[in-house]
Amino acid sequence: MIFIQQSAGRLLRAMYEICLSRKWSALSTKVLELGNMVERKIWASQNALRQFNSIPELIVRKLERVADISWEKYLDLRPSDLGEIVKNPKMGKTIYKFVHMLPKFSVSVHAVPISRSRLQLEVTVLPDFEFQVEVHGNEISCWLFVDDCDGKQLLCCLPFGFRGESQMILKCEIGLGDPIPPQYFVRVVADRWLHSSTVVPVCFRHLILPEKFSPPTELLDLRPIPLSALSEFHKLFFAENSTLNSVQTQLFFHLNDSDDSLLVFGPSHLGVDSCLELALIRFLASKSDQDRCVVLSPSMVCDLILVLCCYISRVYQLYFCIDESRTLLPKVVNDSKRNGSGRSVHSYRRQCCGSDLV
Amino acid sequence: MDLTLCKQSRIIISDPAHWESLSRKWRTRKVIQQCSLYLLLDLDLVDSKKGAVYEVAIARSRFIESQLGKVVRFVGSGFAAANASDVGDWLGVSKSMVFNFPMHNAEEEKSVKVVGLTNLDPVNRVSSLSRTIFRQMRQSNAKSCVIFVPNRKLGQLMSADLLSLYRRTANFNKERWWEAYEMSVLLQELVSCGIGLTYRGMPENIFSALMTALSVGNLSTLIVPFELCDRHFAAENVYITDTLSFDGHSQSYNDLDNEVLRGMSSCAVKACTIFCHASKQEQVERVLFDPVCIESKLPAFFENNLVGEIVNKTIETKEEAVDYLTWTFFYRRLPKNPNYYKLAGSSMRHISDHLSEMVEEAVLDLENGKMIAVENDMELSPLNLAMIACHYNLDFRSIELFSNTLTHKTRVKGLIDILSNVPEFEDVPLRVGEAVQIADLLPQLGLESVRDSDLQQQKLLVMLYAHFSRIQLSSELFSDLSVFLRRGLSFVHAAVDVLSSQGWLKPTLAAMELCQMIIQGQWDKDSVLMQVPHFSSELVARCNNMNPAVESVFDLLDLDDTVRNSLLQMSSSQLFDVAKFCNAYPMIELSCSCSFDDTVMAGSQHEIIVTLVRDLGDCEESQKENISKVVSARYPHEKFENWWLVLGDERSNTLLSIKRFTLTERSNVRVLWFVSPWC
Repeated sequence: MIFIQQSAGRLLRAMYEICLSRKWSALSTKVLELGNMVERKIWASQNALRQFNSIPELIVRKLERVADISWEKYLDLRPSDLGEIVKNPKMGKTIYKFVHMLPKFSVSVHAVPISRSRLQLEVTVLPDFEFQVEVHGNEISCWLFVDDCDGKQLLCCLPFGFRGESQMILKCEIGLGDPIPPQYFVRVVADRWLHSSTVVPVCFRHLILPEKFSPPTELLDLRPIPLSALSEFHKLFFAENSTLNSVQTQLFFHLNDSDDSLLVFGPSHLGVDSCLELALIRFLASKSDQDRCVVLSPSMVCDLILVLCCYISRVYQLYFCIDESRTLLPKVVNDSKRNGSGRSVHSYRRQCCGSDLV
Repeated sequence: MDLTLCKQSRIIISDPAHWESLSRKWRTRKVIQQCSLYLLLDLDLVDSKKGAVYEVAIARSRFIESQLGKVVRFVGSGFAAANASDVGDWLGVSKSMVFNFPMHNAEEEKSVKVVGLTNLDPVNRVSSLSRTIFRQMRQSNAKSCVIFVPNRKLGQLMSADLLSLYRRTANFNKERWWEAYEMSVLLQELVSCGIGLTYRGMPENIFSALMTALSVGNLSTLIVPFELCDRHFAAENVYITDTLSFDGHSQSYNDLDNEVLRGMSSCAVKACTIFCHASKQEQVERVLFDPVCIESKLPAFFENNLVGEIVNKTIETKEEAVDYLTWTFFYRRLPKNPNYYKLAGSSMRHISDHLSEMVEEAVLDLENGKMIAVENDMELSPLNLAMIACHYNLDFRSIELFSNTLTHKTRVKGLIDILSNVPEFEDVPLRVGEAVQIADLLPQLGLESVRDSDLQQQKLLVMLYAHFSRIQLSSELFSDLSVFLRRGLSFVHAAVDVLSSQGWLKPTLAAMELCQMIIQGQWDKDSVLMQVPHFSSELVARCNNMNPAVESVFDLLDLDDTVRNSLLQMSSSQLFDVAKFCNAYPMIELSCSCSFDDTVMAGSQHEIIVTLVRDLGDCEESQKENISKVVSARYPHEKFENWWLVLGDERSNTLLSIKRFTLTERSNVRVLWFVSPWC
């Protein structure tokens, strides 16, 4: 019997995990309930108070005999009413205490669209019960589910632990179908407690979706511009026999031959940052000394800074030949002369980051 | 300081926060007006925790452009963004000049894989990964790997596991390059097998040695905790062991920020594998493979921005404040995604209502905090507190806290308490297990553990007390402390200003003392000699027992060389440090003269001319810059001297006049103005 009980619990847990990974909402709820029934050794139809070991069997039986009260109603009853039900006024308070110790959360949801097909849900979870470490353990593990409008598919499941906080804010992202469904359901369930689920609908009637995004630019398959095609001044800044990368090639004309503002976005491996180098080179070549260039970088770990430092070290002497005033960061330059190539990159970084402003 | 650097250079590289505070006074600063090219990196980070500052900095440069009527070129780059055209609109870039390359060819060069695991417990999940990672590293045959782990402890576990696996299979012994560095035995053992382990607060030279070793090939694996991910790593393979990080404030596990995750995965050259809980898999994939939609984070920062603009007279009425908002990215996004900004509709009326409401709320908040004054319900003018907040570039809430909690009875302990409550230090991390560590330190420092007190505040308090009592902290706590010390100083300076504007003498002096305590790392009641490098309390006791007793630095200087050497018993390098300190120790003679006669009318204004003569010794012209540099073994940053000249009446605890200045010349003349008090 013990063998069966233990195995059944484990098997049901496994089935539950499978349901979650397949995104079956209704079945996962049932399996979780069944699993808890096995673990707690009670029927779901039995009184939920049976989950507490310390409540006398006799009282629970009495409560179960009054079959016409659903579990939700218990929460609204006062201690005196409860005492009356079991015909034992003294027990009223005890039962009341236990009724309000069963994990139950009140949930409110704020939906924020982040794109036309995605929603961010900000779920505020407030405990609606009395948390006691002796009864519940240090942590109650809970789940946050988002079901679609038919309650069939699980859109999101998020495990979280509750440790007696007065308020928890959970965030999750879910997909949004087209056309917009009327509503979704947010469900918060304690993992190991029967009768602990709370369901809240999220209504999408007043939802305004963000505007459509403009289509992305196509990356043209151009032949990379070789360094030999560039001016002498450019050659100072690039390694010998190198070519411009594909993004630089596509934008070269805009960056090098005009002074228009320009934005370039793209995945990091394309090297979009390197376009800024071209703009910088144009600036150095053409502008008068009265103009300044500002490079803003939130992370300060940009390759541009490194690249810039490397340029300077490479064109160090030439710079002095061209124009005295064009020397940048002479301190860094001197350092780079001393250190080897591999090390110097890191030491540049430290100087750049350490002083925040160079 | 920063400004002079800017004046000298043609190219200014800065982080947005710095530039934001520098460019506030653009009307008077020529340098800022001269900027004609803005290179903006990582524009997608406008939508990150600190993105609001970036947005403000860029919005201001747009505003300056419009005011001066000068052509400014903006060239920006960033991660693939779905709404790139909005950013273009904001920066005034024509549609044809916004290039937004799609994500889909990302897989060509490197493979990024997200693996969902079912283990619910985050610690278990990570520690069970070592074998999997080891096998993958073997299969991929990568020369260098970086493994990101949630914290130092898990890193240690991971390294121990890997060590046992490596030992069984490989012999990674190259020439013993690591012997040049002072590494712990554990780390040496790891490094000899080709594994590097890093943590926050690691000595910088060892850290960079490990980085170099990784790039050169002396190390095959580097284990890095999440909090170090802002350093630039590059490796063939990257493994990210989890997407949750522990947050000490809520004592729970939170998702990593998107940009952090992206940054970590971009360290990979060839392949990147991310392990996470199965429920997160989809979300992580979206973060990595889908273009971002950049939203504005301005609303939370707006009040501070407003303070800055009002102080610098860019905004003088509520109308101008609304007008100013139209320069922001926030304004561009409002009609595009109204629900995100808690707007019910996207019509012009909705938006203008929302903007004016936002301004009204911010103004009301600032007015309640005594930051600004509102006249005729329209005109905004800054009050003293706002100017202090702006001058030190502090959150207005901190200044509000100061003005609410500082009283004429506040002393050093009270100031420390207030300092540890400053809201801006909320981002000092609370790591796993630090709660226990802090609780252990409490009795040692003579602090009482208050049960339900804020952990964050307690941590700051403990760190400060430990700094003053000179107690060794763990390397992570120490690195937090050093960040705290650098930023904390400007808070104390601000406190001095707040107190002195109230005219309380003793609290002002206490705040100045706190400043000195922070820099020298000692309590106000400790001996002056503790400031001297390599001085311990035993040595100070020995000095005091001398006949005549050596109680100050000058006493020490006056000693005979032989007597001094026998007293100190130090090595020559230590003696050199001592000598360096003593030579820099300021010796100042102060004299003052009054311009008025013996009879003084109460309530009228007078001036006192104070002459300060500094004994500079025989220093040369070239060393002038170094004069004002503070020599302190305990303060981890560069610090330049600041002097306060205070005129006050101790009996009535009133401060009559105060002046802050620097002393680099041999003799200085300062004029103090004050109003003679009523007796």
